Amino acid sequence: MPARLATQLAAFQEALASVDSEAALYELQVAYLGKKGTVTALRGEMGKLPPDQRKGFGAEWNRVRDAIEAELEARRDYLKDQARRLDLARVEDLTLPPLRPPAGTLHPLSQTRRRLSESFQRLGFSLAVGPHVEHSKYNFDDLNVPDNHPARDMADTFFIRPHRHPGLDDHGDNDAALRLRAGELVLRTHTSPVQVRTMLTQKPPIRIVAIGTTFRCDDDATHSPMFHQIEGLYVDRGVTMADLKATLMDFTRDFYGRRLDVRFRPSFFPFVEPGAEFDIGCPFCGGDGCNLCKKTGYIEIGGCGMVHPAVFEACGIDPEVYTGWAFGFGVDRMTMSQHAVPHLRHMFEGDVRFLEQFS
Amino acid sequence: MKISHQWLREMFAEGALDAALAAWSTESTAVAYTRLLTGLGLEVEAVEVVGEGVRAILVGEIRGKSPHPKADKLTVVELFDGTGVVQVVCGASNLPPLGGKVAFAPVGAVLPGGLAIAARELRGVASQGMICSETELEIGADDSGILILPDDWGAGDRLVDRVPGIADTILELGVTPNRPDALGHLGVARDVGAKLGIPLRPPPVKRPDAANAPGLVTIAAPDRCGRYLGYVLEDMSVQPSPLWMRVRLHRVGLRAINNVVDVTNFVLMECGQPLHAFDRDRLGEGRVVVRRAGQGEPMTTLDGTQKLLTVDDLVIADASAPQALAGVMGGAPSMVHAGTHTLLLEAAWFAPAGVRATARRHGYATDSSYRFERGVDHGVGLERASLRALGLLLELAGGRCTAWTDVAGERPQQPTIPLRLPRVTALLGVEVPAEAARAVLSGLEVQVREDSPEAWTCVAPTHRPDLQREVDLIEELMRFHGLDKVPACLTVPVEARAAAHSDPITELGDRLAEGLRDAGLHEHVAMAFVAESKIEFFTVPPDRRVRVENPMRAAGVMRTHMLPGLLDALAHNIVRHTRPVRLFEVGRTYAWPERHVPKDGPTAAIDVLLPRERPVAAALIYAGAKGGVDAREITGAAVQALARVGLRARPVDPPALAAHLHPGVQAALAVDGAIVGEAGEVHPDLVRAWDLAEGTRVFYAEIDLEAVPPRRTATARDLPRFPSTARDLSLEIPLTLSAARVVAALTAAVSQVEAGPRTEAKATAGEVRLATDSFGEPAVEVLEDYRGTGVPAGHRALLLRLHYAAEQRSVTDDEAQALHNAIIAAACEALRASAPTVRPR
Repeated sequence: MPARLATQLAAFQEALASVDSEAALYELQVAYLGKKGTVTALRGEMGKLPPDQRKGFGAEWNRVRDAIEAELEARRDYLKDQARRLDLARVEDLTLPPLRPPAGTLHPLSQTRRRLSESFQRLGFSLAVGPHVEHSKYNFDDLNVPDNHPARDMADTFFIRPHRHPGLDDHGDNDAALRLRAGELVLRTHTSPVQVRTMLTQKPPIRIVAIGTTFRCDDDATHSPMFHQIEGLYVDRGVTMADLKATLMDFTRDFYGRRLDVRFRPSFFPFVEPGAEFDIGCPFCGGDGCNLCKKTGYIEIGGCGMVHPAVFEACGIDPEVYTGWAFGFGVDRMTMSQHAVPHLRHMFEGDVRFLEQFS
Repeated sequence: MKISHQWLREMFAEGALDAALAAWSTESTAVAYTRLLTGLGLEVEAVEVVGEGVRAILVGEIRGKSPHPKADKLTVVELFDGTGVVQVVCGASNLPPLGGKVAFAPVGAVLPGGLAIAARELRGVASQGMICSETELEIGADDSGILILPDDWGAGDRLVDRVPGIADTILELGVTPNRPDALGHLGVARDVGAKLGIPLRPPPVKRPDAANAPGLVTIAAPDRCGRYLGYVLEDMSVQPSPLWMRVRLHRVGLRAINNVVDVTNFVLMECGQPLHAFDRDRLGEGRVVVRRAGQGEPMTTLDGTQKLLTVDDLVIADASAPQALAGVMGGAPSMVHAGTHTLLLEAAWFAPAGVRATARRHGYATDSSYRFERGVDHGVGLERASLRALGLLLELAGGRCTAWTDVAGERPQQPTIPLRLPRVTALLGVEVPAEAARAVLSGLEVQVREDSPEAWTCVAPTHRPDLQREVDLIEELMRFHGLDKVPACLTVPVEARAAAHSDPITELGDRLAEGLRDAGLHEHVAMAFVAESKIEFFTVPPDRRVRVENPMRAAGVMRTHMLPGLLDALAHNIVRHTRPVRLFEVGRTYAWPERHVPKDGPTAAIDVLLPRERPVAAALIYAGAKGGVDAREITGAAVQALARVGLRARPVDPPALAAHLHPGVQAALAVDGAIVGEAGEVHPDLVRAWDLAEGTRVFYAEIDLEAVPPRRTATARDLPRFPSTARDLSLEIPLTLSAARVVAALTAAVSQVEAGPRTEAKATAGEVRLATDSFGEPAVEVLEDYRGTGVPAGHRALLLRLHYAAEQRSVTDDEAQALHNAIIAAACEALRASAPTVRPR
């Protein structure tokens, strides 16, 4: 082998031994076999040799180049293998507390409201809404709860101080504003005024639910001054108490995902006649009696009944032509029993340690 | 309302109730009653079996008394229990003399309170049993000494035989406001009898022999007093009632006072009829007038308080002054006392609304007003109740009735109610057979005239003021026929139903809530009312705040903003733990409108009177004790929420500063150029007002649901065929110049450059342009906000990246750079108009 080739090969081999990355390997390859590489340069010198030596030199050069390429290849394989083994030797402890993007939650009351709303929409009920600050005409009078009637005691009312809108005089509605006396504006004590509003603005058939915030001056371990109700109303020709029972049974099955015992007890609500209380068999103990149902086997869900003809009359619907039923449930109590919430106050404090449980 | 089983039994023939109840159900009395009454709409809230422990109590006769040798206050009593004499040590100071009778609990007895009587020694003296007080036997409230029994009771008699019904079952009924008749045992018995099919047989009463004396009572306000029965009793003596009466009252929760008061209370509980007894000797001229009070007329009621009356108050007055607040409470001057000999007994009917208004006005809620408000009987029941009281008074207090009267005012008319049997079926969805209907109505004492097999005419009894219309009778049929007989079946076929729809604002609120949840926030529900001090930082002026007249927890204003509720929750969390607090709430704020806003539709006349309720979604982020929250998390949460309804929101410079946010750390949220909300750091003054630590950084955002444009359905854009080229830019800008404005200036500069002189080549599709992103908006990215060394004071460096592309080909670096330079130059020039120090770095 010509001495210069041998020197280059030896130099390459020495350099190769210290190469420890693929990038360095590439640099080495360029340095020897690249366009301007030292070995490549030697090939160009072949033309300067006497013709009889050229062939031999050419063969030798090829051999050296092949050797270099083979060694480069081998070294590359070695480096790849080395890198893979290093990579595999890494250890990370995935039993450390998992790193999650912060997870938010919907309030349990919202979750119940959404499920109620979905259940009733599946049963063909549209969603209706109304204001929280309501006139006593819609909250009481038109619902057959006249002023100075004991039925008003069923709900301790928050009253809103009336307000004279500036500029009202210019719009011809002044009479109404002047007539507005203390005690006429209230925080709605139930969602039932939505019934009145719906019947005043829509013609039967009416099939709605209203879910929302309601207020009563009551504040103890089991009552919050602000709470939530769902109201249902169905008005059409031929609507009966039997239909009410069937619909609420249907709802119970849909909402709780299984058949539960249901119980209807006669009761009194001024805006329905006949009226009833609606209980379901306790979904937790199956009726055997537990703490949630206070050992009765039943959970009280709310009131219901046939719309009182006086309510129809107040809303301009002829009770001889149409019949209807209505119901009202307490959303907070349903939520608390569903999730076994120990204290009502937790529901409105906004403690993240409570809220994050409801993912 | 407490109802005694023993008392109910007396409303029927001897043994009839027990037999009927046993025939109806084999359950225990308590369980049977619960099912029976609850099924009738008289909800049994609790049942208590009482007096079991009294069964062992005997009548003991005092045979000997000697002082205890070692204790001054104890007496050693020799007691005859009917069979022998036992020695009992007693601590009472009211031991009767020899021969007196006491209640004796022998060894082995277990008292109602659970105390087991055993033989024991009291300071060295053996005691074989115990002499009991009322309270120890739980048959009365007098704990001042032992119970003294009548002398003529036989030693060894069992107390339960001497006082029948002392062992009892007490039902706590929840009586709904439509059923005043069920506020007495007779009314409850009537329902029970109608259901079980046994006739009522209440204790007999007798009219007095005395002459009618019409001058005794004058009704001067006939619209408020429908009927007034008055009885004069003379030569009577006020004294304690017998034990049976005291036990009966105690069982239903009343305290025994004296025989006169006890009789009126007894009749109240038996018949549901409030009565009043005046000391007639203290009535001027011995007669009364039922009249309206004078305005400001003073009166002292039984409880000793003085009231100034109004012309709307009804009083029972003698010749000179009011002696009772009609239907509410008696007056102090003519109150029955130990020396009373002559009575005027009142049984009346007062108009319910008037009694209610008076009771409310003067802050009373008495057993009497409670019943008058709901409507007591003005017919035979009223007279019966008065005669029952008269009979009991004569029996317990002696004397005689010397005069009586029955004066009428305006009594309510009993309505004639048509009842159509097909209507029953139409409403209930089940047929009630005529025979069953007849039986129910007859049991309830409703008069029925059957005009035809299907159309009846009914008149309700005077004790049922709630029966006014056909539906009321249908409810009675349902109650007694059984609500469980109403089948559960859909009347209207499913296919006839209309499609259900949601409410757009509710829907939007739900979607935003989901977006905020996905941003890692927890939903909170705060009270809608707040303390006035909590909203002083906000811009709604005091005269537009919606105020609660009768607030609780001092929260007298409906919230004008969502932030106070979230800050309250934050403060609650911070004192309890050190973790991050990320909360949101979707709710309403309330304010009177600034100007009159006309309303449409059938409810407009009411709606113009109501405040404006604004639906808002609000979010709050606090990093926790470790700190380290980026202010952009709050804008990120808001943008994510709006993305949930397909909207791209971006923070922009606020058109006006929000007072509750830090003036230097706030932005408005814009969708397509319209402002839908705000975001920023909570103002340090608020942080201080909520007592949070100095320097606590809290971030807040809110979205006005009514300002959010409708949800957008995504329309797909074709993807660019050729890659784009990016060019970066570092701009040195004043701290107060917002990134939003820089981006806007760059975007505007693009149009300016593109609108410049056009070459032939530029007009082709091969022209280089600022690329658009996937949403068709100019591809300008803000990469970094640099505030380190090398930037002059009051400045920062904003690193931006712009993307360039052509439609039909790839872009060369030189082409992109040329356009880039032109855009930078134009943008800087525009920005320098308001911020002269802007320059590229």
